[in-house]
Amino acid sequence: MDLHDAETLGTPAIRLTTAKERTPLPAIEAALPLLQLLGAMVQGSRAPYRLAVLRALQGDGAGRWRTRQVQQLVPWMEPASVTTIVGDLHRAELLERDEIDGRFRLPPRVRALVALIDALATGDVPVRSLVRVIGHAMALARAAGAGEDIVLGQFRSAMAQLRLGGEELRALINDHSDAALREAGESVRENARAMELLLDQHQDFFIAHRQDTLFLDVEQEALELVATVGGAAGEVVTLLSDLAGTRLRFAGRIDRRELREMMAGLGTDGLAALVEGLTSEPASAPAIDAAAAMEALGELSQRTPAAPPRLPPVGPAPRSAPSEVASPTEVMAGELRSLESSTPVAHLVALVDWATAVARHTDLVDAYARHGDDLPALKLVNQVAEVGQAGVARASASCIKVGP
Amino acid sequence: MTAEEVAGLLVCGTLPADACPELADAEFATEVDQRLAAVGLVRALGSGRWVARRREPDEAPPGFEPFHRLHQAHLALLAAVYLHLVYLPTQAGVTPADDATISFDELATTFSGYKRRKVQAWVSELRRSGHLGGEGDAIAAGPLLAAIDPVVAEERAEQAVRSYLVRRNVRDRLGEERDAED
Repeated sequence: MDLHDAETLGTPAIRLTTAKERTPLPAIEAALPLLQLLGAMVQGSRAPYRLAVLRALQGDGAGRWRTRQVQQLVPWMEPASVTTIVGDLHRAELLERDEIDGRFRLPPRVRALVALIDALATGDVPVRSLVRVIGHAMALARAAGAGEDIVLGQFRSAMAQLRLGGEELRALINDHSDAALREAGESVRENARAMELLLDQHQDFFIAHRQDTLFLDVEQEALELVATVGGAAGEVVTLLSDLAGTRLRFAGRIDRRELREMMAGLGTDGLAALVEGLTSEPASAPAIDAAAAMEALGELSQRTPAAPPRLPPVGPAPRSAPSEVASPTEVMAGELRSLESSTPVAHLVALVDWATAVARHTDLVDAYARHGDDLPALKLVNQVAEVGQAGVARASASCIKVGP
Repeated sequence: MTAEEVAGLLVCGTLPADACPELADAEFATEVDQRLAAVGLVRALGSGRWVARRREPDEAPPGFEPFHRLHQAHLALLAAVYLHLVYLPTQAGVTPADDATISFDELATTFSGYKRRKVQAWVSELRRSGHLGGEGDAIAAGPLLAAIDPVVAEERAEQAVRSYLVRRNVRDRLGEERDAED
């Protein structure tokens, strides 16, 4: 199912969150007739033939052609087929027919589209040329009178490509392939140079918008990207190139700490590769040093195996009675049960000092939480009483009620 | 000693450089070399001793069992010793000393992923085979390691150092850029 089918199969309609005039849609809709022409060129099985005829016409200086002349421009196609293709092109408005002399001509917008297709006829855009290609697209957009937001968007796209290159370089640092790192470095360096050139070529564009901080920020960011990512890429290429040996001798000395770090990065296989094939097994079996052998034997014979203590026999774990010391909570519960008259909570807890009062208050709360049903009723009062004893200035005015 | 005797000794072991003054004579040395070459060996001087090492490894028939087989860990250990004792002083413009040693602890740091006893075993094996020298915890290059092709070994080491420096520099530069972005 293609996108066109999806539109016709009752998928939900597209809704906007704002007025259409505030979106890029009007500008895009204005461009649609031109883009539909492009679609007419490249769709269908006859697209290669249509493009071939258009390219032949584009490259011919005449500018107006009769069908017979078109047939002469495409000698590798049978004349009847050329006539069919010319008919197709005329129906798709890719060729105009002069009302007076009946000759065909290329409309200006078709000429622009064919030029664009020719430029992209390489089939793919190499990553290393992407910023340059985007730079040319910027130039095209400006020449065609595109809005400044479109031009700026293209420029940001070039910046994103350069930034991605930097990320790729960073990712390849831990890859042990110098070839991959160098290739990425060359690609990023080329894009950084293209970005520098792009900044030069479109200097007037940025100067014209100097009053806009957005443009200033983007330009500044691009310059920093060129300096950092482009600089790092240049360093990668230089150091990994054949000239690096010379440079290394002047600037690339390492100390023992760096050597340790390097060896840790190489790992066993990387280290082994440094001497692989350079050293070999000895030609013969080496004589065993008798003294060393006896020494090793002596050491071995004196070595006693480790003797861990024996494990206890298997049996049930001993049971012990729980501690008979009553918990403070139980002590407090006993005190509460033995009360003979109603007593304020403050009098019960504020006995010795502040610390003891806090501990007894905690025990009292715990006792009511565990044994509340068996204890005298607690009358909660939402007020504070002045106590003034045992280090306690104020306490809750709640009271323990005993009796009716 | 005759050339035949010297060649016979070198097949079995190593000779101190000053133990055979006859080797200073070009004709005598050529005869020794021809005898060694006939069995695929080449004479080299390493750590002050004459040693006969194999030339390019030959294709061995199936079932061949060498007296010693160097595996990856052995080679890695030899490379580490070479980098410490030969490459590091050379790149600083100092001639490596014949009696230079590194401590076992230094070597064990590089192989921290392996058990210490295992690394000790490799050192012992390489000492017995003549690749390493020294005594106890002091490890020196043996005749077989000292006799490796210095040009190729230095080229490979330089390439590894270059690669390390590139990665470190790029990481530093791009790291600074990332920090600035953050």
